[in-house]
Amino acid sequence: MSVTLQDFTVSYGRVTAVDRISASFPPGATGLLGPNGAGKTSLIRGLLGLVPPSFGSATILGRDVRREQKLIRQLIGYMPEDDSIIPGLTGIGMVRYAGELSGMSGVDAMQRAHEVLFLSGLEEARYRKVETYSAGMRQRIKLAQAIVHDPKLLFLDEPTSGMDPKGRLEMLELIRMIAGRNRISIVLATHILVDVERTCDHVVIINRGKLLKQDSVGEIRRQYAGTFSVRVEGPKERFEEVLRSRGCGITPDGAHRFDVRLPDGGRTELFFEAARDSGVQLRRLLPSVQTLEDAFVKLVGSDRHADS
Amino acid sequence: MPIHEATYLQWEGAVLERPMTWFVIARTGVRLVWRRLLAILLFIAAIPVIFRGGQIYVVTRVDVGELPARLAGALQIDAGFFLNFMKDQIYILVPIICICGAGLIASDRKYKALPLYFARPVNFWDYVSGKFLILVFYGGLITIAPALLLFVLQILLTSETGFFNAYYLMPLSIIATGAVILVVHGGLMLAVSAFARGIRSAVVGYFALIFIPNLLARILSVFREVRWISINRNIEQVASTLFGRGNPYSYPVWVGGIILAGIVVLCLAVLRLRIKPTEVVK
Repeated sequence: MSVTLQDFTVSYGRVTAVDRISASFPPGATGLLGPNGAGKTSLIRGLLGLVPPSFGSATILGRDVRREQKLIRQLIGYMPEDDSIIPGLTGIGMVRYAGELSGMSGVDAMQRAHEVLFLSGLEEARYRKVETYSAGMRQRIKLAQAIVHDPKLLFLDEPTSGMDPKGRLEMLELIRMIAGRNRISIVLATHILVDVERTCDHVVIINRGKLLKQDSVGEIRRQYAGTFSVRVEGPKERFEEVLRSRGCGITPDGAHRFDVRLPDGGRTELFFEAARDSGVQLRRLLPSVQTLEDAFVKLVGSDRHADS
Repeated sequence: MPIHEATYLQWEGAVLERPMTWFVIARTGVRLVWRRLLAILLFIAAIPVIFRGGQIYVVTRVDVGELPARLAGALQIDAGFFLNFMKDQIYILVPIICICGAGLIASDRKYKALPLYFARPVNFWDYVSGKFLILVFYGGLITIAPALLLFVLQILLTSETGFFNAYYLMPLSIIATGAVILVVHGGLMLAVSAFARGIRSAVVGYFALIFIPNLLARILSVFREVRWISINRNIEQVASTLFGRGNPYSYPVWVGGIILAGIVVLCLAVLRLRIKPTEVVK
């Protein structure tokens, strides 16, 4: 596992940003998904020791985050969410500096800085002061400084924020390319689900500091694949009764609508048979979860619902 | 088939197990500062050195006994000569420290660069000592280095060994005094830079901390001895002891020493408080 968490908690005074999360991030690309304020950034900061964890334990690449901080920081790369740059330096200067701070020799850091800036699409702007960079360029230079020392694990915090659509696609392509190298694992923290779907194999969903779900992207899609959104006209209760008798799970969703989860192996014909038997008109029948986004909305929505 | 394809290349090298990140920070900072107006300022700072060097040349070439007593006394090369040189250099050091140091931490905080440092094998002491060494480098060029140069010049130009026999410990006094000046002024500048929101406010804060107590000490000392409230007076008091001269002010030297040590501790506390890897919005 690239990251394991056991009751991991991060607090800022009385505010608990990450609340006893136990999870594991397998090697490869993992999406850390959650709405704004879910605790994604706090979780990453806690793992990197930028904010001291208040409870629980965690390991990164098998090393304890409390006791082996310095070693861990040599093995990881971090692209912060904030608009962080090191002022006064040129693009090449900043990436070289980042490499040297990670323990590379000056010559290696300079050579590698040219490589990663070329890869990040900043080869034309590498001799410009970083303060003059646009928002998209700053995202790219942050990625370049994070990968200059060829880390084993890369934490990317909202890597596409502030980028135009073309730049966003290029950034995602770049992340996919890096994740495609078997040696590098990626933790991609974002609230943009499409980004996770495009780049990640696994997903960890958190909301309000708590873990909601962790699984592979495919498995999450599959788990929600047999769920349908149904609307009927007529004796709704009778229709629900028939469906329940045939092994379906039902969650109300408004006066005439409900989500129906088919039993294992169940087919959509079942809805038509139930409608016929209960004497209702079937006005709507749609797969309710088609994408990770739908699953995410459902999970976060049900979390809010459960809380209220 | 593309002749060149951009792809992620693995780096085959190995990182140092214990990188001297403080040195990397210091070296990069020194280079960055040099590119600004510093070369011109250092040239201006060299003027008093040239002047004092001229004095040494004159004294070693002219028979001082033939000059009027007052002039001969003023031209004399002794511990007081080096002490006065170091004291005068403080006033050149202040603008240099401002140019070098105001943005050292303030800019990093403004541009949210601290997470970029602290997500790497850099801890608080690496960061602070790296930044401090930048000030030591340029401050040393203004204070310790020219004073040592003048000492060497005096030894080279004089044909007798009397001066060396009398003042062979002078380099240690110069280095110790320089260290006191640089630790206090450097620490103060870093603390103000960490506290300020921008370079301009850091400069204003530093000048205020240096010159307002100085001015107050001057005014209030008419009624009572309160020169200990001035940072530079305390430095002069300690420096005089280090050069084996009498105390210039009527309060004990240990009072000055304790006040300077307190300032350094306070600066460290401010740095500890302000240099956080991430800013938490409450």
